[in-house]
Amino acid sequence: MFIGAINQDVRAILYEMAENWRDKEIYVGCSGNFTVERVLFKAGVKNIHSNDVSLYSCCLGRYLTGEKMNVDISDPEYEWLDQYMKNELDRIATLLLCSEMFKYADRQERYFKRMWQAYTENFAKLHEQTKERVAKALDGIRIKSFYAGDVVDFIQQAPDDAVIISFPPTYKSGYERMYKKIDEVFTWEQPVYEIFDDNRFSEFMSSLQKKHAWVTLRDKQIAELEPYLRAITQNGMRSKPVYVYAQEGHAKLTMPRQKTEPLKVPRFAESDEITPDSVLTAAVITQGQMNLLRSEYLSPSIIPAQAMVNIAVIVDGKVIGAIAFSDARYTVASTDIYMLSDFAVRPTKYSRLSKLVLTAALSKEIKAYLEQVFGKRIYTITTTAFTEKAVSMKYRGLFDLYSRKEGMLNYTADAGKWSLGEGLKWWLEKHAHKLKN
Amino acid sequence: MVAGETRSQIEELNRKIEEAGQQFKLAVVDIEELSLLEKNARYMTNEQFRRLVSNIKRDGGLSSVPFCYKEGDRYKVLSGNHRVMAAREAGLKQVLIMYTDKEMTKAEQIAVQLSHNAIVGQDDPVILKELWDEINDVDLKMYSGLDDKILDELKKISIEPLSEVKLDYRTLSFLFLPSELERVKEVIQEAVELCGGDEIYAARIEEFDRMLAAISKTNAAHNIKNAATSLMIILDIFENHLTDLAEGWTERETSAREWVPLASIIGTENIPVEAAKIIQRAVQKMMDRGEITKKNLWQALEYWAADYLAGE
Repeated sequence: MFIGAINQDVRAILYEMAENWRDKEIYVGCSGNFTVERVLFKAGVKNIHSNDVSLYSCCLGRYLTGEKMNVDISDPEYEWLDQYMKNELDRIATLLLCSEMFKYADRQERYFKRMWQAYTENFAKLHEQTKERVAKALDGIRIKSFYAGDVVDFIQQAPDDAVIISFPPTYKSGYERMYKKIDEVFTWEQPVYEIFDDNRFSEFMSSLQKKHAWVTLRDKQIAELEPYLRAITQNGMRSKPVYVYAQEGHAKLTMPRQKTEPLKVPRFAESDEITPDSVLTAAVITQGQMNLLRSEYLSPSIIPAQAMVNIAVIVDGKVIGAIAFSDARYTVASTDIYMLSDFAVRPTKYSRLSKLVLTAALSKEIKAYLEQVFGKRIYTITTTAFTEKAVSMKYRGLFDLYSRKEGMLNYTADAGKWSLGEGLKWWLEKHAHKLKN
Repeated sequence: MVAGETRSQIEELNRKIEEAGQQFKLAVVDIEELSLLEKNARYMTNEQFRRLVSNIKRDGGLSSVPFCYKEGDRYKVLSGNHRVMAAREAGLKQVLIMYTDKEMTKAEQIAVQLSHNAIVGQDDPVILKELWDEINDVDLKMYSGLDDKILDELKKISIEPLSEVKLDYRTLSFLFLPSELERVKEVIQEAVELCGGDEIYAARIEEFDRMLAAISKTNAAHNIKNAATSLMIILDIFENHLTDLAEGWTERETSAREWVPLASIIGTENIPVEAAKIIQRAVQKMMDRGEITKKNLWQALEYWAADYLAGE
């Protein structure tokens, strides 16, 4: 799969700019998946010159100019792919499939072997369908020229009155990592180019700014380019913003916004009491409802993350707090689950209501539900307390500290320690007597 | 502490406000003298709050004044709780507030709190967009708290996907049902309607626990996380133990009309091709002699086994 930085918002911004360039010669550096070219074409721009260095992009470029290109298979193990390399369109489809399929190559793990087998067994069908998709995506699109080589050379060779659009790799050796296996399997006349790093970016920018008009983007703010900042787009709360710099253009901005939904369940109030007759329950809530509770009760300085499971903890029909769980990405063992956040509502007279929320998190009922959702056995729950202190009082006595890093404490506890009823009884005995002054 | 000159200027202002017949006062107070509401229906999402903090930092102060109720030495913030929280986060030590020290009941305080949030104007979207377009600076647009997406200012540019076709996945749903038998039928029907998977299997809730245990052990043994891969390994193990299935018909009463899998005797569904050729020839010979017909080819095995056992 080709990974590019040109999201939906950047496409819209580019489209708007392109409407002024219909009679200009446009030079697109680092064409990648030719998304820029396809947006330009849609905006009625026809005089396009493209450039890139990867085998996939070069095949696309040659196809769009109608030129021929030699590509051979150098690894005998992959000679079976030869039948899928007959013409330019064949090759583009094969390279697209290989970019995904090669993730599973040369691996001995069962999962990877299974995926590899599925790809190789179904290659003919996948290739046919991919070819149809590529033909449709490129239907009617033509470019005036394609330069296989260094983007800085490409820009320098462009006429001064040209418009330059170039979105170079945002991380060092990006192409090289993506195409390592492809370059091992296929032989072709590889262009010479320099690795794109921050130094190369400075050189790239000075070449760019000599031209009539230009657009580029980075995933970080560049102080020297501040006067040219035309847009910032960010999709997710935790995703990196994309900064669009251009010689001209109207300012644009897109920012992520959390969706909130009402939660029509009463909240545990200051006057409410928890007694031995009380009933502790848990209910699954939506991400929108969690966003609402988090906005109300959790420190607003904590950047929200998307959870897979959100649960409201309820006493006698009133919400006392909420917990969010995520998959094993951050966890230490496959039988572990990560608790992204846990918090109690306020105001309350109980100093340690948040411990009752944690008591629920460690219940058999929540464990059983998590096992159903995640389809695996769960033995432990892991979480992180972001604090400069040596210990987090909230987790003490319920979770064990297993590691400490600067500004954070990592805790773990056995899942399914007790039933919700047993947990409530424990909390009533140990913590209910601690009241706020 | 507020400087003496500022204090006297504010006192002068408060005197003028009083002369104008208004009951409110201004004060510059230490931010720690302000008490926030314990219960507040108004919330701000993380991104709105961070924007507010950035704006306060940029401005160097609050650009609108919180309204407070003076209770003893402290000021209870009835309106502007998030502004005060953001001011703290932005590092402000003192803020300008408007307050009243006139006695207020709890209900009156709540009424003020709610009114400041409820009695707000609305935007005409057309004029809002026109004003938005007058800002041609990304930082100032950010300051405004709006963006092009929320104002629906960005065109939707759709282009055909240029990507590979993905592997075809099928969904296999296992439903683990409560053990009440009378409910099973009803729940399966409901599940079929709700679940959309390609195939549905039903089992009791206890079996779910056993299956998780099996997947968990398989995951640990093979160091994998993917449940579907575990299931494939479990099936491999099953295939290697097909003869165990014989217990299913040797350890219970059976009727003569039942059929059982041959694999539960010989442990496999497949045999080497050379062996198959010999068996095929023998079966054909029995057919030619009329000892078996096309309908009971399997009986060749029974006859051979009986002959073998008779010769023991």
